[in-house]
Amino acid sequence: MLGARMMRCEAAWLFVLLAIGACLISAKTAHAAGPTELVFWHCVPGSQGREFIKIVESFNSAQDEYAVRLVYVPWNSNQKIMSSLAAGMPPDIMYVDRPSATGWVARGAYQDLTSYVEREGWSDEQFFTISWEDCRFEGRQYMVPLYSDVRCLIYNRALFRKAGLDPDRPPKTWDELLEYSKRLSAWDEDGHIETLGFQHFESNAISNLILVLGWQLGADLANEALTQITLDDPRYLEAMEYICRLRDVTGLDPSLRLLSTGGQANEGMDSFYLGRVAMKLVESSYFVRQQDMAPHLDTALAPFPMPTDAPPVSWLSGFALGVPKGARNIEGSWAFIRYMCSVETQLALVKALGLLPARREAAYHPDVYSDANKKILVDQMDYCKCYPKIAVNVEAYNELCMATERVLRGQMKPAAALAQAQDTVGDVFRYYKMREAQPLLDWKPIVRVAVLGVVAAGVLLLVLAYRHARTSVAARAGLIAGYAFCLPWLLGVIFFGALPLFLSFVYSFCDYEVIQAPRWVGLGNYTKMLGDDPLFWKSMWNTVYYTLLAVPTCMAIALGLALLLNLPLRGMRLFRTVFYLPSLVTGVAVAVLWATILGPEYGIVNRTLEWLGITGPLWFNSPAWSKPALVLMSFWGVGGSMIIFLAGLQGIPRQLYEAAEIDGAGRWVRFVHVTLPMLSPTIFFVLVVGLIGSFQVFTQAFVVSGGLGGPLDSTLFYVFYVYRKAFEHFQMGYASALAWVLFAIVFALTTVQFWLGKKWVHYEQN
Amino acid sequence: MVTCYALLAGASFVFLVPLVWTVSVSLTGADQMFSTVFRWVPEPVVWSNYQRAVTHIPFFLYLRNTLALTAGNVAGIIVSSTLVAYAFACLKWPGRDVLFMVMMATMMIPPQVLMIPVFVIFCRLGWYDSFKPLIVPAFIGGNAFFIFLLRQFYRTIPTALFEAARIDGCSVFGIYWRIVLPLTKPALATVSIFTLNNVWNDFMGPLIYLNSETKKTLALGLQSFSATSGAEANELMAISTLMILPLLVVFFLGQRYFIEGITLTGLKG
Repeated sequence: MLGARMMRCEAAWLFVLLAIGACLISAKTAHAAGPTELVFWHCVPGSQGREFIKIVESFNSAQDEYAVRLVYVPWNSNQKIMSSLAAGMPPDIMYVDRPSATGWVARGAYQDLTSYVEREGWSDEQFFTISWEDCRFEGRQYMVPLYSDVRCLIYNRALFRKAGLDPDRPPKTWDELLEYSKRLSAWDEDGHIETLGFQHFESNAISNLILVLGWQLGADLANEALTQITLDDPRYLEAMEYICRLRDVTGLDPSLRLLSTGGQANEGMDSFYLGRVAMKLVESSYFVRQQDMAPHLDTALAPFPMPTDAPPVSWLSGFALGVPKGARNIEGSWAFIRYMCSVETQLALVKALGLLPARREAAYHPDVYSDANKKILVDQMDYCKCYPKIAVNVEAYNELCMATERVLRGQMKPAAALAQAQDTVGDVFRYYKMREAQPLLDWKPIVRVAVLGVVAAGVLLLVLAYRHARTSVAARAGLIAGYAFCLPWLLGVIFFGALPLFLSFVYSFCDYEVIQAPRWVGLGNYTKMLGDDPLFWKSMWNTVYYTLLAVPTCMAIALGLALLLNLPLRGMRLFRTVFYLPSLVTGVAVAVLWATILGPEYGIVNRTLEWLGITGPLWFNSPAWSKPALVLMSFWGVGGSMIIFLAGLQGIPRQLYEAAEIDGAGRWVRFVHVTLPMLSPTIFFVLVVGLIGSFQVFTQAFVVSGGLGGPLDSTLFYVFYVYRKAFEHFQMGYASALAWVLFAIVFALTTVQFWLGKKWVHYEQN
Repeated sequence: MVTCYALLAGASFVFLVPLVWTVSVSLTGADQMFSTVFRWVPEPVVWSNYQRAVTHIPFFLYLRNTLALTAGNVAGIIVSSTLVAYAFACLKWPGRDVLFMVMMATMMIPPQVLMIPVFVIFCRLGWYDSFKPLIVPAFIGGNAFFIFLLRQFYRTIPTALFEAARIDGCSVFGIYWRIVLPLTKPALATVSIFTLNNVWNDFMGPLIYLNSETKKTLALGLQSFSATSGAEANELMAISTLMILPLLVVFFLGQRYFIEGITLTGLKG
C-alpha cells in the first residue's frame, strides 16, 4: 500500500513529540522543605515589577518562617481570580485595586482582618484616614492600604514657557484652567492641531475627570446613607458642562486625532509623552512612570484646579493587600502584610517605585516630604475622596464616564445622559439589593432530572444499538468500531463538555455571583434581557454587523490567496509563509501593533492616506469606524482559512483538471465546474466555522478597546458583553442566559446551513 | 504569470507591514520611542532590546514549558481528533448524527460561561497548577473545530476506495491507518499547524490553571511586559518577534506536507 512507509515516518514523528512532552512534563521542580510557602498574586508589570519583586523578596530574607512566592497576574484577570475563589484555591495574599474592591468585599471574597488589625494596634492614626476607611466595609477591616494614588494635574513646563506662562504657577481654579488651556493650545499653519492645552478626554480608557470635578463640587456617586445612586445630582451636570467648555477650546475631533489611542493600549504614543499635551489629569504614579520612561520631559505636578480657590479636593485610589476567603494560612499572610505595610518597607517602596505611602509616618518622612512634587500630593491627602462603599460603585463610575463620553461626542445632552446613567445604575443597584430576597437554588430536583435524563438517554441508545446490531454483522462491526473510536472523545465531552453546559444552563435561571451560592430567579434573566436591556440589543447588532462584514470578505480574500498560492510557480513557499505570518502575532502585541497601524495621526494607514490627499478616519476612536477597523484587522488574520483552502485545493485530483482540459474547458469553466464543487466541503467548513467564530468575536475587540468596548459601546460585541456580565458585574447567571440565547441563534443558523449545504456541498461519498 | 507575481508581491507587501513594524520597533532604542518620525530601519539599531527582553523573563524556562504543552497537545489532537473524525465521516453507527450535532453545539456556547465549571472540575481532580488541564483535554476529545475539519476532508475520499480495501481484507482500523490518514495529510498538517499556533499563543488557559512562575508559558510571560509603559514596547516587540520565529520556521519547513500530500492520485497505488 502506498503511503505505508510515509505513515511510519509520521508515526515516528508523533512518537518523538509524545516523548518530548512526557519528558518535559515529568521534569518536576524540586520542592524544598523549610519555610511555609505563601502565594502572592500581584500585577506590577515591567521594570516597576522587577523593583517590586525585590522588595517582596526582602521579606523572605528577613525571617525564615514563611517564604512568599510571587505570581504575576496581569491586570484585568478577573477570570483567574473568580475561578480560583469558586474552586476554593485562592492565593494567600492578593494585591488589590482599592476602587474596585468593594464589589468583591460585599460578595464575601475577602477575609475579615479586623482582629489582626486590632491586635497590631493599627488604625487611622498610623495610616491616612481616607486610605484606611477605604479598606473598611460596614465597620470591618478587609484589607490594609499599601500605597496611594492621588489624581492631580501634570503639566509640561517647557510648553508653559513656550506659551509665555510661568511654569511655577500652574492653574488654581477652573477658570484659570480654561484660560491656560486656550493659551497652550496651538495649531500649525495648515490648521492641524499641534498642542493640546488640556486633555479633557481619554479615548479607549476611562476618563476620571467628571468624577474628580463632581467631588470638587460636593457631589458623589451615592448618597451618604448608601441607599441611593445619585448620578442625577445637578452638580454632575455643572461638572459636565464645564468639561464641554474645555472640549470647545479645540473641539473633540482634532484632540482625538492627536490623542492616538492613549491609555492602556499604547502609551508609547501617549501624546503627553510626545510633548503635544500641555496639561492632563493623571494619577500620581503616572508621573513616576513618565519620569522613568520619558525623562527628557520637563514636567511638574500640581493639585487639580478647584471651582473656586479652595483646598484641593481630588480622588484618592491606590492598592491594598488583602487575604482572599479560603486562604489557608491567614497568620502567615498577616505576617507578610504587616511587613509590607511597615514604615521601613513603605519607605523602600517610595524609594524604589516612587509610590505614595499609605502610612503617615512614611509620607511625612524627610525622604518623601522634602520632594516638592510628593509634598503637593501628601498635603492633599486630607481633602481626598474615595468611591462610596456600595457594591455597584464600579458600574456607577463607568456609567458616569460613559455619560460624559456621550455628551462630549455630541450624542446626548448632559441632562439626558445623566438621567440615563442614573436609570441604568439604579436598576443594577436594585437588582443587587433584591438578590437576598430570591430563594437559594435547590439542587436536589435538578440532580434528579439530570440523572433521569442521562439514564433515559442511555437506555434509548442501548435499544437503538441493539436493534442496529441485529441487522447484520457489518452493522455490528461498525457500531463497535464507531463507539470504540469515539470513546475517549465521548468521555471528554461528557465531563468537560456536557456537564459544564448543563451547569451553565441551570445557572441561566439563577442569580449566580460565582463566589456565592446561586439563587433561583426562574425566567428572570431571559425576560430582562429581551425586554429591558439596551446593551443586549446593542451588542447583538454590533456582532451581526461585524459578521456580515467580516465573514464574506475574509472568505473571499482567503480563497483568492489560496488560489494564487496553489499555482505551480517558483517561490510559493515564501509567499505562503508571508501570508500566514500576520496571524501569528497575538496578545498584547496585537493591541500595540494595531493601535499603531490604525492610529489616527501617526498610524501607517492614515499616513498613507494623507499622502494620497485623504484625511483618514479616526478608526478605533470613532464609533462609526471602530467596527470596520476591526474587520480590516481581521483581513490580516485570514492566514488560517487560507491554509484550509490550500489543503482543500491540494486534495482535488489532477486528473479532473486534465480531463476537463481535454474536453476543451477554459480556466473559468474549470474553476466553476471542477474547483468549486470539489472544494465545496472545505468552503462549507470555513463558512460554518467562520460564522460560529464571528458570533463569538471578543479577544481583538477586548484588547484593542482596552477592555472597555468603546467608543460608545461600538465594539461591545455579544461575547464581550457576556464576559463583562460574568466577570466584571458578578452576574454569571445573566451571562449564562446571554450565552444560551447566542447558542440558540448560532445553532439555528448552523442547522440552516447544514440543510442548505445538502444542495451545494459535494461529497465524494454520496 | 506576470500578473500573478504582481498580485502576490502586492499582497505580500501589505501582509508584511505588521511584521516589519514589529521587528522595527523591537530594534528601536528607548530614547527613540517618543520620536514622531517613524523609521522603518531604526537608527541606531538596538540589538540589546532582545537581550534585555530575554533576561526580563526567564525566557528559556518559559520556552521549555511552551514546548512541552505544544508537543503534548499536537500529539493528543492528532491521535484523538483523527479517530473521532474518522468515526463520524466513514463509519455508520446509531447515534452518530446526534453526537455530531452535540459536537457542533459545543463550539457554539461562548467558552466564558463554561470556564468556571470546567475549572472547578479540574481543581477537584487535583490538577490545579499542573499541565494536565492544558494537555489531557487534547487527548480526550481534542477539539471540535479540528474534528469537523478532518471530517470534511475524510468525506471527500471516495467510498469505492474503502470497499476495495475491505475486499482486500483491511480492518476498520486498517482503513483508517492505511487509507484515510495517508490520503489526507494536508488536512493533518493543517490541524497540526493550527494546534501549534493555538497552544503557542494560548493565554487564558495557562493564566487560570498555572500558578507557579516555573510553569509559565511564553504567552503569559509576554503579558508581564507592561503595555501601560509604552516605552517598553520595544522589549514587548522583541519578545513577540522571538515568539513568532519558531512558528515561522516550523511553518516554512512544514509546508512540504500541505503541498506534497498525496492526493487521490494515490488511487494508482
